[in-house]
Amino acid sequence: MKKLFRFILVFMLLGIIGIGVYRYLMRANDPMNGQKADYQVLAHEWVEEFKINEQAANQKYLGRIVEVKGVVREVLRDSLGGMNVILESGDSFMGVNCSMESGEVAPQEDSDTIMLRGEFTALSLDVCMARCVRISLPK
Amino acid sequence: MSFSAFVLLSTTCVLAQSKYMTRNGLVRFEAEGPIKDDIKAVNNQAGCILDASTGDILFKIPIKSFVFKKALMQEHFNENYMESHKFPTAELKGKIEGFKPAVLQKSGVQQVMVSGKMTLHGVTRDIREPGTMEVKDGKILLRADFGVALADYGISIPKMVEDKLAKVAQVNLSIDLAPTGQ
Repeated sequence: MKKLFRFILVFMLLGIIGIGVYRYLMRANDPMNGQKADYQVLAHEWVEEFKINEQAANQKYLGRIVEVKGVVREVLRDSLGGMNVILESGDSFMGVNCSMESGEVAPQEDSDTIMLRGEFTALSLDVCMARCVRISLPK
Repeated sequence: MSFSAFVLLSTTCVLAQSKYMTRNGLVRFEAEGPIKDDIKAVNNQAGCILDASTGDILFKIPIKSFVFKKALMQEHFNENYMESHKFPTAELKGKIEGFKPAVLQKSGVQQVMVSGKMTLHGVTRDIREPGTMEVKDGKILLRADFGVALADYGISIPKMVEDKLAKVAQVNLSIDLAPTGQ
């Protein structure tokens, strides 16, 4: 009886560990909504920072969670249903390119001032952020 | 390419009529080994500029913008394989071979060959890959599927995951280029 009890206990323990490991291995990215930002920036100032010193800006922001405030210049869609919001930067070419999380509602082009939270990924044609969500503007 | 050189190219592109570009090109990546583990990712932030008077083409892809279903896989991809903290972008600078502006007047899908230099994980190599080009509704649609041998770019695969990870990753490009600004 004692042996059986021990067997069941070990079996349950292994099961719990197994479920824990499985959930850890299979976990999706943490939702951006619940994350705390490392930096808060204005789109035009942020792009300027990259123009002044790309290397230093990359080092400072790469992989960090950033909240960026700016006016929507353009909303782009791709063939897989993805949405990118481009924020105005004052530069005729470069902007802040935010790849939005699925399920995010498209903002209005040219007029909306919004704040987005996402992970800075690199300077490409734009300053790029991934997994972005729209957050409320601070009062 | 340094930022200043890139801006110079970009500005030139905006000023010229013959340039086409995208900020949200799609790059799909798959590197499944014999043991299937869903090693796939999508990136919708590939930047691309095409000079439609010469066929010169530039791609710039932020590595950290690749999104995997599993967070752990994404972490390994960035930290252990691509080392995106050291090499945040991949770049392809090249030419559509035999490109002439007149090809943009042709309808239908055309076979093209892109050759140039690809920089990935800090390693630059010559590449030459086939693809297709189609002019539709004023846009140039570029499509390509090609393999990237990880070892060629100094990306080593640990013994432990040898069966899960393919030695040659399959890359799919889907780029819709629109005329710049004008």
